[in-house]
This record gives sequence, structure tokens and C-alpha cells, in this order.
Amino acid sequence: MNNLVNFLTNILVIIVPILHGFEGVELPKVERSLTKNGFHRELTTKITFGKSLFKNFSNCDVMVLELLPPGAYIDPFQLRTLREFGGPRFICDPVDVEQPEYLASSLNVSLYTSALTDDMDDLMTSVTIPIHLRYHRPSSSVEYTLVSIPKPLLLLSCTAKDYTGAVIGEEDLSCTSATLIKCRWTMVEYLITVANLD
Amino acid sequence: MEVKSIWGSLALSVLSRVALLWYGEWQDKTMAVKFTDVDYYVVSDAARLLHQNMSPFHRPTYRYTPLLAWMLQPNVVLTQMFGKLLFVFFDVMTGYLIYSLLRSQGFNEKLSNVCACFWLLNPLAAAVSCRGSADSVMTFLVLLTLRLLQGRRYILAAISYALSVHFKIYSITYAMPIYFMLNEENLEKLGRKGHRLEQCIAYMWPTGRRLMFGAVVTVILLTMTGLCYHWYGWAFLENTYLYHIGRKDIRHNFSPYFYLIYLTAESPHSSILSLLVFIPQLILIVTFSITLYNDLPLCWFLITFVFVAYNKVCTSQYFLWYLCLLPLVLPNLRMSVKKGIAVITLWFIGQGLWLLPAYILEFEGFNTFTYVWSAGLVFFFINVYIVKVVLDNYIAKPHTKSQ
Repeated sequence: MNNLVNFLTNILVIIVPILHGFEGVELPKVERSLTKNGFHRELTTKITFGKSLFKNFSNCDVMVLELLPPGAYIDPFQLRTLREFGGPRFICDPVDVEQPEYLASSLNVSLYTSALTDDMDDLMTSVTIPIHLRYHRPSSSVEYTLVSIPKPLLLLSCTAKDYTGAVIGEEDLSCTSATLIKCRWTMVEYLITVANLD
Repeated sequence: MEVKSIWGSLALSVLSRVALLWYGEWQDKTMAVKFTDVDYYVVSDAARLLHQNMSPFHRPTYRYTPLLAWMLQPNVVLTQMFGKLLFVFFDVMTGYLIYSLLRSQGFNEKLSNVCACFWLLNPLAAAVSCRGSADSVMTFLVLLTLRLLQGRRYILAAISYALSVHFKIYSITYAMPIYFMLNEENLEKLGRKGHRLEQCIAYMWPTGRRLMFGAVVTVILLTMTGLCYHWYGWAFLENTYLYHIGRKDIRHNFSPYFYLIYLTAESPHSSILSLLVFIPQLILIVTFSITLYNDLPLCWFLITFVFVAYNKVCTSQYFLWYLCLLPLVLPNLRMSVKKGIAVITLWFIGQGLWLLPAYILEFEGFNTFTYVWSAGLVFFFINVYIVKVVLDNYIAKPHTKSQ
């Protein structure tokens, strides 16, 4: 899974602009923004689909799959308490929140966004998660270090019957955050406004 | 506002804490930034695991004795509020014990009450227990041990002491002065004039009382540790004790060693280094134990104070460990109110100086590591100065025999 995600992220970064950017095929748009400073940030991902991309969107749940580098993490216990304040449902690997960057590993987080809502000609949803940064190895040459959060994967729970946009592939992932039962999710292509967040 | 009797102070302290609990509930419900301490959720989760017959150590960052998760069972079956109420109870009882200890030392009602208010109406103490930190259990056990020792009820004192060590390992630093104090009469008789060897024997000889005290503490500690180990295995030792002893937190904190530990975290000498930093603590604890065993409140206060100030990791939660002992020392400090306020202000300034760069580092992301560390050093020197002030202005009480 880990390798697969890595592999796909790389492909996304390189290929998407070449193959589809020029053909003028309609793609969903993803807008990423990072607020707050210091070791505690908030990452917001806003996803907009043109209505024409769907034949029927009522079956379509949206999942954002983040791969956080070792320098960053989410605190699952914190994220769970944010549920009642509009936080997302999610699944993630166990996290050691105390480790420094050089001992930690990257972290897969599946975010189950809230249902798509009508927004003029578009359908949109967005998801915000608090992200924390780890202490890094001390350095005598630089005062700051860069932590890059790669592009996420965008998945839909519906099939080609309901979604007409460009598709990358399919993957079996948990149907909801509360079950181990797998569903077939469709990985879709998209355009992103900010490619990598630093 | 003057509170006339200890009952008035206790009532006021309970009222203020209930109000604070209420406010906390409101903040937790309406704001994403919680009033409740993160660890309270950790302990509640652990209590839930225990309720489902699982190990509380399956909850990451649960670093307490399983006893705490057990005590908080009503959190699962009754109300999530229970633990906080329990901590507030121990918190208020800590205040009462301060009063009781001072009274039994012969201080008048009014002075004892005022000193107890130093704890009872202290916003720091109230905030810590109302946010759901278990530290008040510890302050209660420490003062209870002191009270029982003062009342010469050694077996009960031993039980209380063993529980406190089981609860948080730091109170093991009180073992040496207790041991000396248990042969107080002979040591007093010898005075400073006795022969070196005689003195040495009086300090070390395992008298009947010492053996009994030691035996009770050992049996309780071994039983509790044994049972917990039997049930939860290595995870218990690892999280409850070894984590705290070997704790090497590279993230910023008040400790003067924090920057050193961050920079050398990966050095092959880091474990030797973390043993070396124990040495100043050890020297000071032994010195205070030998010289001040006959005045346990002062002795424990200074031991705890230097233990926290000289520790590898130092966070504001640790300050409570000595703040509960401070009111017992206050009545014997002969200095002007002005100077007293000046010293306390200095202590707060030391923290303020640290908090500013720490905030800028943590929430603004500017590299202020060296400022944080420098402020930690300033705070350290302020603490050393406070130790000096206390020692210089402390008037040893004429040795009163308590009932």
C-alpha cells in the first residue's frame, strides 16, 4: 500500500499536466491551503467537481488519501475529538506523536469527506485537519527545514456508471471509517492549484 | 476578603473549583480548544480499555499506574466528570492537610488558615485538578505521609508513602530523609558534637522502627508492582516507571539541559550524559537529607524544588509537586512581605521570559531554540536564588513535639 501510494503520487505529479492539462478535458479541482504557523498547522483541502462530471452523484462519497512525510503527523485522538466540531471521519495507521522526524515514518491517512453539496454549477466538499510537525535533527548549517506534503489521492466510491471524468485506477479500501469491509474506490484525476505544500 | 476559619476557606475553594469545572464543561462543548488536559482523555481511554478487560497500556502515551485507570472506572460507567471530581477532592484535601500539619506544629489557627489558602485559593492548583490532571492525588499522598509521620503513626505513614511511590516515582527522593528521621531521637542526642563513627551509626543503623517502616514500604511496593507486572507485563514497567526515569524529551521545556539533550539526542554518549545530569540532583538530595531530616517539610520542599529545577525534563505541571509543600515552609520564613512578593514575582518573571520565545517557536515557527534555552537557564538561576533565599531566611522552629 505504502509503495503503491508513493508510486502513484509520483506519477500524478509528473503526468497529469502533460496528458490532460492540454487536452482541455474537464477535471475536478483541488485547492489546498495551510493556515497557522509553527508546529501546529491546519491543512484544508477543497474539492470542486463540475456537475457535468457526474451522471448521478448521490452514490458518490469522496475520499482524500494523504501521505504525510515523517516530518508531519496527525494526532488521531485529537482528530476524533474534532468530530463534533465538523472534523472528518478518517482512518490512519498508529502514530507515535513523540518521535522526532528522523525516527518516524510516513503516515497514510484516509479522510472521508462530508457529502458533496451544491455550489452554483459545481459540487463541492472540503476537509480540514490539524497537522503537527515533528522536531527534526539539529543542524549547524541551516536554521529552517522544509517539510513537503505531497499531493493527495482523490477517490470516489462510485463507478464509471456515475462518474464520467478521467479515472486512474481502482482500489479496495474500507467503505467507511467505521468498518473493515472493503469497497471498490475509483481513483480520479484532478487539477491542483498548489501542488506541494511546504 | 478574609476567610475566618478553615471551613470557610475549604467551602470557598470547593465553590471556586466547581465554578471552574462548570466553565471547563462549557469551553469543551463550545470550543475546539479544550479546557480539559490532554492526559485526562488518555486516562479516560485507559479506564475504558480496563473496563473491557484490556490493558490500559494499549492506549498510547498512558504513562501512569494501572491503579489510576482503575480508580477512574466510574468515568466509564457513570460520568466522564468523575475523575475530575475525584482530583478536586484530593486537591481540597491537600489544602486541609496543610492546615492540619501547621496546626499540629503549634501554629495558630489564623496563620495556618492563611497558609492553607496559599494552596486552596491558588488558581494554579485549582486549574490543574479541574483540567483533570492526577497530580493532586500525589500532593495528597505526600502530605498525608508527612502528617502521619508527624503524628508518629509509622505503619500508616509507610502505607501512604509506598502508595505515593507507586503512584509517581519521584517521591522515592524522600526515602533518605525519612530513614534518617526515623532515628531522630538518637541523632538529636548526639548533636553535632558526637564522634564521627557514632554519628555514622546513628544515621545508618537499621533500628527496629526503620526496619518496620522499610518492610511495610517494600512489601506494598513489591506487591503492587508484582501484581501490575503479572497483569500487564513489561508494558507496565516501561510506561509507569522506566519512561519517567529515562525520559529524554528533546522538545522544548524549562530544563536547563533541554538544548543539550536535543543536540546530543543521537550522540553515542547521550546515555552517559543523561546519567551525569543525575549527579547534581543526587548531591543536593543527599545533602538536604543529611542536614535537614529533622525538619521534613523544609527538607522535602527543598529536595522537590531542586529535583524539579535540576531535572532533565521540566514542565509547569512539576511545579505543583513543591507548591504543596511551600505553605508548610512559609510560616518559618522571616522576611518582609515585600521581599516575599518580590521573590514570587521573580519566579513568575522567569517563566514569562521562557513562555514568550517558547510560544514564538511553537506557534509562530521562528527558530528561537537558543532563546528558549537561555530563558530556561535564567529561570534555573532564579530557582537557585530562591533556594538560597529560603535557606537564608528560614528560622528553624524550636523543636516541638507533636501529638
